[in-house]
Amino acid sequence: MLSDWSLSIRLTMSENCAGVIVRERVLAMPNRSLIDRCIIESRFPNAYFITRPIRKEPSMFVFYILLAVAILLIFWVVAKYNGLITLRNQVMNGWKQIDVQLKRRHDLIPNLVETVKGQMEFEQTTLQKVIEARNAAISAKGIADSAAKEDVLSGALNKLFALVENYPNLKSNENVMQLQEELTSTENKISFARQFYNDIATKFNIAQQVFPANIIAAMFNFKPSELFEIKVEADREVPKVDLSLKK
Amino acid sequence: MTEARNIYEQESHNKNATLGVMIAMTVFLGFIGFGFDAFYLGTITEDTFLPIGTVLALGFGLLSASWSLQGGAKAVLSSTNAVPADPNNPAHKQLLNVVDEMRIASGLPMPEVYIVPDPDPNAFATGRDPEHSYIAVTQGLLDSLNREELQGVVAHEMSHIRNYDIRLMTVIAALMGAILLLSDWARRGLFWGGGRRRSRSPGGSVGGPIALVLLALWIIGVILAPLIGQIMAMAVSRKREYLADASGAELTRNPLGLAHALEKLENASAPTASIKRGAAHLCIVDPLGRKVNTKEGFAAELFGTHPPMSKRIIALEAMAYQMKPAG
Repeated sequence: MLSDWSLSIRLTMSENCAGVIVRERVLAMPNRSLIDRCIIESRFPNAYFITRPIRKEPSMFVFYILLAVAILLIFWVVAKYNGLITLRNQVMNGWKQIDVQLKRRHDLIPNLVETVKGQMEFEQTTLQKVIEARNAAISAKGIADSAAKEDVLSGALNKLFALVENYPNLKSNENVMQLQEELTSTENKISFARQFYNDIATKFNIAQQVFPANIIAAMFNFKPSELFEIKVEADREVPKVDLSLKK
Repeated sequence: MTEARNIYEQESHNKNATLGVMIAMTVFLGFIGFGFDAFYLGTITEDTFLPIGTVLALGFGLLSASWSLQGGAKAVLSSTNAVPADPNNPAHKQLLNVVDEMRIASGLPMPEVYIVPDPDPNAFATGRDPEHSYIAVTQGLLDSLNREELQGVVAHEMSHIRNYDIRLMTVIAALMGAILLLSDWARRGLFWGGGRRRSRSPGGSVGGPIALVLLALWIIGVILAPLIGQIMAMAVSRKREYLADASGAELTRNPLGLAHALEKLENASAPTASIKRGAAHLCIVDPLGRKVNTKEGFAAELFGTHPPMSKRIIALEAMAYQMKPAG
């Protein structure tokens, strides 16, 4: 079929036109292999070949790269979202733990104070009885009276010894010291619970506000947590310490 | 020389330093191991990459280290004759309260608390993770510190647990073990004139002079491996001590409490007889009273398991914004 055409065909690398330029008219000539072109050129020495615009097929390599990036991106989004969910729950937990310590203080301290007061009263009563019995024994008149009163004194002293035997650590100041320790520890626990809440709330806030995680946070409607702070201005004042014994 | 860093800066500085040393250790292990495989076993060439020796050594190292991690805590405790804390004893009860407060501040589970019957003040933490953790203090520590200082020490120990230091030191031990194994095998091999490189097929050698330089470097590395490994492991140990100080201060928000405790501990530097060498690196102060841990200087910079006390105190004072001006 080529023999019917008197074509001017020339090898060209242009990709932009799809026609064969002839002196009179344009014919579309598909791109030929090198051997074909040599053959045609040898028969038609003034031939022009013009390549069709090559629609470049994107290489598979690029596709795999894009796929890997997309998968990594999905994993990252999931990881960030799960991390924010975990932190939000830990913040809620931290908030409730403060109440746990407050309840413990509410239940424990009055009972502890009553126990110590009871022990102090018991001690005091027993001691009081010993003192009274001793005074009575000293002021006894006559042997029979004296003997009876000494018996009472012995009885009271026995009670005191029993007290000491059963409660070897029983000294009022030791009880008070242990009470002090428990009071201090209870207040410390409440403070540390508040501190932990602030720490975990800060961590949560940072996690949802840094870039690029803030995009995820906004997408899924995460809100910053409030930190624990004093609401009553009086709590900020310096407490008065008055150890004078005037009533 | 020490710039003033606050709590958060100190924490991130020490974590980054740890990462740096871990990377260096891994690279060094790779150097020794792959060199062993290339020069001695001949399993690494331009064509093949079978790091048999490296993998074997790493396997042995991990096995022995994880085995010690599993049973380690109980073994360490029984070796010191530690007894569980008794809630009916007022001093023990105070300690239990202090540990409970730190539990709340850190969000960790409550560790088991033990007392070591030793008059020298010291403390250590052990356990493979926060769910299986133990804190022990000596009777001497309970007797000599007040509540604030005790809380500083307990916070330091809880921070070791919080930062997974026990697990990290186990990994370090595994890497060290692998490095030592490889250098041991290599030294025996060199001694007996091994070296498959000579028996490889001729005409396969790439870059003759480069290979010789690498071989020379590798031999030096093999000879120095125990020293280099020790230096790196001790560097990590010291950084984790600083980190535990900073993390503990973050828990208590009271760096000076620990600083005062360290001052008291420094003055009472008699060796703690109950704590044996195997547990020494876990303690807050070196129980063996080794000079390398108490003085500053070149040896301390390289080989001490613990940083010098004075530097720790300065770092804590910096966290409390009370660092004394230099000079």
